[in-house]
Amino acid sequence: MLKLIWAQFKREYWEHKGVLLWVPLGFSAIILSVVLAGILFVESSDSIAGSVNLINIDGGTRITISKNNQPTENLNNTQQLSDEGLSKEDEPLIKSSQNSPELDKVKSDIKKLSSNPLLIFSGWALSVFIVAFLSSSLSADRKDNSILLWRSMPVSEEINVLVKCATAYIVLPLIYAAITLITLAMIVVMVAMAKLTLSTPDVGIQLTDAFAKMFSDIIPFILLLLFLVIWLIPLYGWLGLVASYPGRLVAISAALPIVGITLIEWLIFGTDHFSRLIIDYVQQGLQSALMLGSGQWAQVDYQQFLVGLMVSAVFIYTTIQIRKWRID
Amino acid sequence: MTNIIQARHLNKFYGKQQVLNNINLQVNPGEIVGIVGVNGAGKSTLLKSLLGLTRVSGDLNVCGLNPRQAQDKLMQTVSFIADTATLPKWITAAQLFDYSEAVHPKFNRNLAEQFLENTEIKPNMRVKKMSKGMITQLHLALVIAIESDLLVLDEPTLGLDIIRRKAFYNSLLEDYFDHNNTILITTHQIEEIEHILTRVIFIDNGLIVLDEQIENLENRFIQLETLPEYQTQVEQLKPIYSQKTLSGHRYIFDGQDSQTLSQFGKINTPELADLFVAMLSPKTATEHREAC
Repeated sequence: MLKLIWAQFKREYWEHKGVLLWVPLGFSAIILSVVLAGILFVESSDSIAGSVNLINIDGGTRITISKNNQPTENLNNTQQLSDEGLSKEDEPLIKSSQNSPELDKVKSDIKKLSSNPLLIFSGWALSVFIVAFLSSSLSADRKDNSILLWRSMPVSEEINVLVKCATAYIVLPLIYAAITLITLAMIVVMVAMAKLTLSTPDVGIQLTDAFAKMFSDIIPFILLLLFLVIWLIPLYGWLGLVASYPGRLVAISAALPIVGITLIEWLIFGTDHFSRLIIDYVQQGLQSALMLGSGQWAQVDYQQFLVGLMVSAVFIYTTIQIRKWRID
Repeated sequence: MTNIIQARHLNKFYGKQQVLNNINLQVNPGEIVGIVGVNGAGKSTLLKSLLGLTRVSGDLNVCGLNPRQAQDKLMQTVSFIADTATLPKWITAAQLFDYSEAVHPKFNRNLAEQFLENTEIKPNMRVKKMSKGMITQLHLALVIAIESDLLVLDEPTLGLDIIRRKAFYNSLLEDYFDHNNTILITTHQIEEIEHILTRVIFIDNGLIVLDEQIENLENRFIQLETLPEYQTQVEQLKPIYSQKTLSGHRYIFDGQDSQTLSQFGKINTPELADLFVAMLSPKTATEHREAC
């Protein structure tokens, strides 16, 4: 059985190598190129008398390269190149902010984190890739007729669909997380190498600190994103179900019932309970993820989480039945 | 002998249209059955119902299993080629074999690779880079390497040139068939499978209009080529099909005495294609439907 499931995962990887591997690698390559270009620019413009800081701010991670007497320039949310000038004694190569143990500080961090564009962007980007994967995975085999080949193999549709879902909700986010970590590690190494050329003596020790800090900062952030993905499975599951149904306009077919129910409710009863329910569920997910991220396990809405999982199970079951039926 | 396929009173509707009409079918091990019909006759629906890929009413048992309830288990003993277009474009031969080896307990990879050695297909070549003939060879390699009890082929050579079509059926006989397994084939190109069949089924509008062993066709059906002066006498013998020729008429008879017919001209066994046309010509088909 394990061999069969592993083969199914491999099949998903072969079929969707683009979204599972090449897309995150492409993003990684772009980010690394930008960082490299930044380092080379700083290095070539003057002696690189700059500092490289890995700072924990707003729950996120930033890398800064600084030079003397010039204003800071924010490149993006994760990277900041600035000119402040630095001698060996000025600042450490890599330094980190201290996490406050007080609850107020945690709450403050949560507020900041909730408005953190990095979290919002990462959540959206991950959702887009999950939905792209799911809709392709659950409909491509019908479109290219290969469903007849797969159904000629002794693999149940239950296993087939569950592996597709597991790939979307677990494997894809983990691959993205792993590539993000590797990319950040490479950025730290690149920056350190740049400093090494300037013969900074304690670069080895500072690099170790930077890695430790990076992993302690970014891993909770990634876990938080994974929790958010699991929270949002009912929404992805709905899109997957619609994608399984024979038809071309997945986005419209998915949105139509939601818009339809909202409109009918508004026209007949003058209320917005249905749309509010969906919006509240997403917001509650974000809030629960942040609570979880800050270690406040008790504040997580487990009841809603459980309801979400049950709705997801219904959507997945229906998807399986549709895929069994639709070959007609 | 246990039937590989046991189907009784199969019916299937698409809306109000009946695509399978009270189909009764028993197939034994070792048979090579050709299911022949025009487009929309119900051939593919019948095959899909046997494979558990579509719902039908009636009693159905394939290899001792209910296809709809145990479709994945059934596929351990049944191989299936729909047509050459079912292999996904992104897959390579090696990936297809890797996957089959992992999920199919009766897949023999060595056999598949041996078969591919005689082709131009490279292990890492993607299907999208292959010609239609190569795709068919790859699919055939897959099927040959699966030690199945029943092989179902639905228009397997559609779109292939005649050389590839002949090669496909030759490989099927040489590399797959061993007189213990069973093959079910649907095709339009009836003349190309005639020589390999042991049994033929004509299907029209969801109804079986002929189900006969090939060896019995000779005794049952007679084709007579006769001169115009015998036309009246011959037509009194109720041919199922008549056709005007340059020298006179050609008739096909079902169950007539060969000695009686031989006095009116030259008799022989009709080709399957001629018999198909005879059986499915509007007049004959109507009579057969009424008889059914």
